[in-house]
Amino acid sequence: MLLPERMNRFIVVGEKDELENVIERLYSLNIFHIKDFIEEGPIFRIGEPLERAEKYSDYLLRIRSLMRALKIKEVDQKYSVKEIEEIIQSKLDEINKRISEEMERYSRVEGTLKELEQLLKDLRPFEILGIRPSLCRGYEGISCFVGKIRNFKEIEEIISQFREECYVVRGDGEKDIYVAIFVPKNLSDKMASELSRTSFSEIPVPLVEGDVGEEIKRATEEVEKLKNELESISKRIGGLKEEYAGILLACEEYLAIEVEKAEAPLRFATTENFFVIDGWIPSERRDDFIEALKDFKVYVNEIPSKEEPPVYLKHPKPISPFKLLIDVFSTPRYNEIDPTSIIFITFPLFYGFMLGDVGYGALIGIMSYAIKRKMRSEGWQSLASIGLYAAALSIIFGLIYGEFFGFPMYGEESIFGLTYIHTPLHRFEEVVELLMISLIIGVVHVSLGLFLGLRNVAVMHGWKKAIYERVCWILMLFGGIILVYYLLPPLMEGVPLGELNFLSPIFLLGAVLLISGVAILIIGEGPIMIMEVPTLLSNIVSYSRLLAIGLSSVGIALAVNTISIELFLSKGGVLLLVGVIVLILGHSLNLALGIIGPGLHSLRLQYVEFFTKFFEGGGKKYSPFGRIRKYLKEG
Amino acid sequence: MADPLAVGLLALGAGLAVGLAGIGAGMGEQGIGAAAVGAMAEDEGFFGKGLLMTVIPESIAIFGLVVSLILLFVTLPSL
Repeated sequence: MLLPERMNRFIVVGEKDELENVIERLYSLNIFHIKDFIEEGPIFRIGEPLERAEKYSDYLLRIRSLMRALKIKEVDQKYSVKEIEEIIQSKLDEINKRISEEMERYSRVEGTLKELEQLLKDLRPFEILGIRPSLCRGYEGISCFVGKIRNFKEIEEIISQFREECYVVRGDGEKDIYVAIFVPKNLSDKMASELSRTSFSEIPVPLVEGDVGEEIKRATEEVEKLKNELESISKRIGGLKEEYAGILLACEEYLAIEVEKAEAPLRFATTENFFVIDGWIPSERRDDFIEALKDFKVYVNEIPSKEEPPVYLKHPKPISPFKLLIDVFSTPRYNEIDPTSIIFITFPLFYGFMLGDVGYGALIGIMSYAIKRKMRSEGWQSLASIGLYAAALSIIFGLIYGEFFGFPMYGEESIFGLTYIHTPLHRFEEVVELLMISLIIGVVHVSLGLFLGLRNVAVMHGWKKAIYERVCWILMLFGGIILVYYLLPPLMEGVPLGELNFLSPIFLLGAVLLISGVAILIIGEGPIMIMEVPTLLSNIVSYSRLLAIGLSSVGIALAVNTISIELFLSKGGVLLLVGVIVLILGHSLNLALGIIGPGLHSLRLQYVEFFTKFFEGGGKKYSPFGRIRKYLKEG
Repeated sequence: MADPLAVGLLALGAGLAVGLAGIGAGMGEQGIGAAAVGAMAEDEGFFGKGLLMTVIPESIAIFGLVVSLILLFVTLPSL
């Protein structure tokens, strides 16, 4: 559980006649991680895909484009392989034709509709101007400029320059002034350059002949008609989608599987008559694998390997959601500790410690449960499970802190009347104690990380490196803690430095540990690494967020409660309603902050403070040849 | 009763600790946040990592908060 699954490397060699059967069997087994063959040397060549590959990928392409066009999402239907094979053989073309015909019609009508709408928009200025568009084009001796302008004065100035030689029509719209300017052709260049200096912007002259009003009426009617048609087409497309969604999804899955199988030889080494498949098997499935290939005329052999195997993180069901948090960071190396099961404990613990409120915990629990029921995708499922653990721990810590939406649960002001119970740990009254607990958690967490790192470095690079890279930090950490433990309390009480006993064995032990740690670090990694020593301190102090985030969350809750009760609820009347609204809004905001804040900071403590001590990452993920079927019945 | 001036200065110091640390954290986060959004535009899978990188400077704000908490809950009662 603390290490990725152990792997064995196998090769499968056989005659090409058996290739298809072997592929079929390996695919259904779904445990073999194929190592892709890279062509080198004169003997082996990359295999050729099976015959059906081309045909099937062509089908697959068409089905995927249909699915995209119809925007098909998940459905709850399953088909048998036989049904699907039959559909692909006989009905696929027809389905394809029906759907693409409708889609084509839709886009054609949509195109015409857009054109008409544009025309209507273009006709509008001419309606305002009161002239036919056909009067503004097609002259031999006259040029016409139609456009809009912000201020008519600009045009008046130009007209005065041209005097009788130009004719202007003006129309006032709601926002803009439209003008049509007619000038003799020989003056059109001059007019164009004059206009370019004003706010005049030209508008297109639509290619219609008749009267503007009539044209607008005709176009509007046409638009209405097309809109109705579009609606009926999209209704028909909706019907087709309903009818074929399940079938298309199943076909897509079937074809994807077949194409993957047919193209598998591209990952194998082959000669004229033989094939060689190279890959990895989880050690515990070793016997299943050998058993499964027994029926074929193939040679199956385990081979020793110096290469790093793919990484397969396997965990009991309660722990596996936390793999998500590892995936976001990086896949561990094959010989590295897999921290999933540690995070399983520490992430919800830190989260609960920070949030620590029965009310918020319960709400987060309900939300996580709802997500778990509604969202089927793997990521959401994992997230919801993590949310449930976090919620449980928040409720437990809420009981310890005695908080319910920021209201006290125990003591004299208890909202449940539990006056006889003393709050085990009051967050505002025992701040110093909580700060100490936070830092102790930090020390434990960081030293766990350092010890895991010691193990990782020792296994992967030998003990010498482990001492230089990790033991020195462990020595410094413990030396530092002993010194702080010895020196801090008297210093806080104001004892002068000179009166402390620097020869006491405790102080000497701490000092020796610290100095030897620094010395090893300098010998191992050079004096520049002294710069890194303070990070150890800042790492530990960083755990004070366990207290700080929690206090800010209680602070907001308390503020919301105080505002609502003292300003509104206690006054009665209409203010009662305002008070309730303030309560709901305030607590929703704080809940949102309470999900993001503790979640991110708990995660950050894992990633930044904990993982950096031991986790290298960059392993290759195990991805077995095969897939879990969603829309096809097994068998 | 403690000297009111001392109490006032202490409260002021606590406020400054949180406020200034917050400004510092914000300045740190602005660059990271902008870069993270850019990276996310390239690859949406970066969301998790980006969010995480963005909260890294938040430590500074938390150190400020801790300093002010110590001022208010440790130093103030001992005055």
